[in-house]
Amino acid sequence: MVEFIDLQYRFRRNSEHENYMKYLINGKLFNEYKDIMVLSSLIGYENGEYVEFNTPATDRVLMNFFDDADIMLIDLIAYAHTQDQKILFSREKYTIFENYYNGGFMILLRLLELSEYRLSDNDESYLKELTIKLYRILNNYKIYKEEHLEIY
Amino acid sequence: MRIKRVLFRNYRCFLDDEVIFSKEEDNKNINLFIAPNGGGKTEFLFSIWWAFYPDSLNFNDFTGKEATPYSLNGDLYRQLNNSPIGTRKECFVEIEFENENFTYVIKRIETFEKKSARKPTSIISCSFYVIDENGIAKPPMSDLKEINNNLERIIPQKVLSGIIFDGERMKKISSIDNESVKSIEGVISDITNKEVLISFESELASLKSHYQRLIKNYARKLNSLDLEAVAENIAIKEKELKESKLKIASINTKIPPLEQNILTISERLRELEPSRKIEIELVGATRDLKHYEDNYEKDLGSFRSLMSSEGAYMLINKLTNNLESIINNTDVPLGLNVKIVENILERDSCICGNTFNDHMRQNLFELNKKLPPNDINATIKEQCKIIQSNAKKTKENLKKLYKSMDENYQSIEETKNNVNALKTKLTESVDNIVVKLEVERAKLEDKLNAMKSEKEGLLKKIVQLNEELKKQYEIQKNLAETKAEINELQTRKDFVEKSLVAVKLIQEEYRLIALSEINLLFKDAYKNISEDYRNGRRAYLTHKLNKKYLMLTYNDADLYNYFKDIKGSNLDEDSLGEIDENEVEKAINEIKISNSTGQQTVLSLAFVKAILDYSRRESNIRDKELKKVKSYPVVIDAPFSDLSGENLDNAAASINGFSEQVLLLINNESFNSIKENIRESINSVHFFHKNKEKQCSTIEKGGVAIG
Repeated sequence: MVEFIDLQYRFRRNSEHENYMKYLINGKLFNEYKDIMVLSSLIGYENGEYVEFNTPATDRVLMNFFDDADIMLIDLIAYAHTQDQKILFSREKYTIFENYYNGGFMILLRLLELSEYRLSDNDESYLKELTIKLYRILNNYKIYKEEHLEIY
Repeated sequence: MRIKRVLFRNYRCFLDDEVIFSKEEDNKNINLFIAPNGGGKTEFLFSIWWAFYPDSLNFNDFTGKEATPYSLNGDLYRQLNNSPIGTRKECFVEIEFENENFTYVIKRIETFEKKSARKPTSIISCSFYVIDENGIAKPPMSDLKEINNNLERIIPQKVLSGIIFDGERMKKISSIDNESVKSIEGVISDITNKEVLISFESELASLKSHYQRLIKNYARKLNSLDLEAVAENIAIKEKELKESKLKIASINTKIPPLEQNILTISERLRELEPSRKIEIELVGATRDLKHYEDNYEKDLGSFRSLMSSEGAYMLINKLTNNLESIINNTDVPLGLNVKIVENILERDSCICGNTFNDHMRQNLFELNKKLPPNDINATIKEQCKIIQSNAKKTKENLKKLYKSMDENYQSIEETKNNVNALKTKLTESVDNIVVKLEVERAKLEDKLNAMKSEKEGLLKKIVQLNEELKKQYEIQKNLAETKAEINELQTRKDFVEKSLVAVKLIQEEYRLIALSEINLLFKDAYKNISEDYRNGRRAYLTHKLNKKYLMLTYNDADLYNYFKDIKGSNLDEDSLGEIDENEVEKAINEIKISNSTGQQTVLSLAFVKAILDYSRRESNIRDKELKKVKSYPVVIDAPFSDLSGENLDNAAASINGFSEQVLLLINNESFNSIKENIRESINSVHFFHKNKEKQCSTIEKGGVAIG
């Protein structure tokens, strides 16, 4: 369906997420940045956490890292956010995606209970624990409007 | 025996002739054949021989006679040779003779046939029949063996040498060189042969060659199997056998300690078995643990990867719900788009067949606003369905992986507990000890197996060696037996050889006795024939010393004087006969005097007479039991040539005394010189006429009143 794709676009990441994202990739919870961004954007949308940011990390993520399914999700999030089909023909849809990712990622960190001081912990058992925790999060969480999260 | 008739047909120079002899009357016993030189005298003489014993006559030996060496006339033979294949020609000589009141007829036939392009071949046959004293003819015989048996009884083959003297032989006998000795020796050898000794000698010679053959065969066998080589082979194998047995004995002493060691180690290993089992179980559990952990890690990797790439789908509920509510009123068939509707609008009527009106066209324009690309809600709706489907698949896949991980995790925990429990049970590690013991046991077992294998090989070798030795012993035994057999055969052969020498000596002895008797007859015959006898000339046939078969003459007085000189003056004539014969012969050799040709011929005639007398006497001795007196006709060719004077007269006058039937073959000249001496004894006269054109002779009977 994709009506418009800017193949030269480079997605922004929040520089504040840099260390966490690196930890998650090094710990093999995620394969690459774009996976974290897609998942986080959906968490953000689910939770209505649309948070703009002005401190992007220096190394942006190239469009060609995203596959067709990712691009479709990006379009859908933008359309759902604006309820206007014109957004699909605008580069602004990428910004909507980035802001949801930015909001969602912080929620993900809270759900994983991953604090900064654990970023040096490379213990495999802890990483496994994080993996299981992530799975349970994806499988079982509910979102309350008052932003109260509970894991089942 | 008396020849009554001779009939020729195509035989040599006689094409068709018959000679009939009258019965002896008034002591007329000479059948005279007068012929010119080359008239057929010798052919006639040998026709008698051929009719009786053709196998002992070789026409090739005839010199200056019929050109072809066959019984068939030469011209006829040549004709036959040029005739077509299948042509036959026959010749025969038929002799009718009487013996002891029986009449016999022998017909010797030779049939020649041109069978191929080569020379004609021939077969000799014979018919023989007897007419008894009553004139009754018995059935003829045709079996050669039976005929020969009868002939041998009536006129033995050896007698022919003593009654048939051709001119050639007479010349040889009377010659003064070695030819004479050879001829005399030949005649005497022929007539003095003892059949039994000849047969015995032949048997012994045959036996000797049989033994020689056997010895040769055995020797060949011996040569092919060297006795020493066999003995050496046996010694080698016996040594190998001994060594093999010693090795087995040595192995037998080494095996029990080895087996004991293996047993001890096995016992120790059995004691260590429980610990060993725990250890093995522990190794298994550890291996399982590793396996589960590996599986868990593998699943975890897949799980993380899937969750990373597709985990987002599990969070699309709100997104899809919101999108659905946005596009809730959109219900457009998939694939229907603005271009299609525009295509429809270009038509006058709808695809359902109704003609378009304004209202319908308005509705289609409205529809176009909701269709892509003017409106993409339909597409979004479809995409929502796709991501929902993806979400479902992802959830299921993650669930499966999680379940597998969970199961592996459980297994890991259980196995860890098991490993810990086993470790607690295992007080000490026996693995190294067991391995060491097992290695040691394996080494000992290898050694034991090698020894057993070697023993087995040695046992097989012993069996093989025993079999080979058995064969070698057998060969050795056979060889020893063969050697013994050869020795035995050699002994027999030596005996046979000695017997042969003995037989020869007996023959020689017999011949010497015969020669001694012939000498007496010779001397007596000489006395009657020679004119010189009156003057004291005597004849002697040497038979004692080295130089035998010499016809010598000497003066009787010289011999007397010879012994008188030796023995002294008291030697008288009576005591001369008592002197050893060897000494006499030695003396005669020293005092012999030379003879003229005529004197030599006289000696020959005396010799012939002596031989005839001897033959007759021999046959009489042999048939003594039957009280029969044998007599044979004598056939003699040209006996008077070289004789003259009283010698000729005496010889001619005495010729009728040679035999009861004398067949005398002479030429005209000889006849004229002796006719007066033999006139009274002539029984019949036949003339041989030479036909130069036909190259044959004819025989004509003449009157007895000759001259």
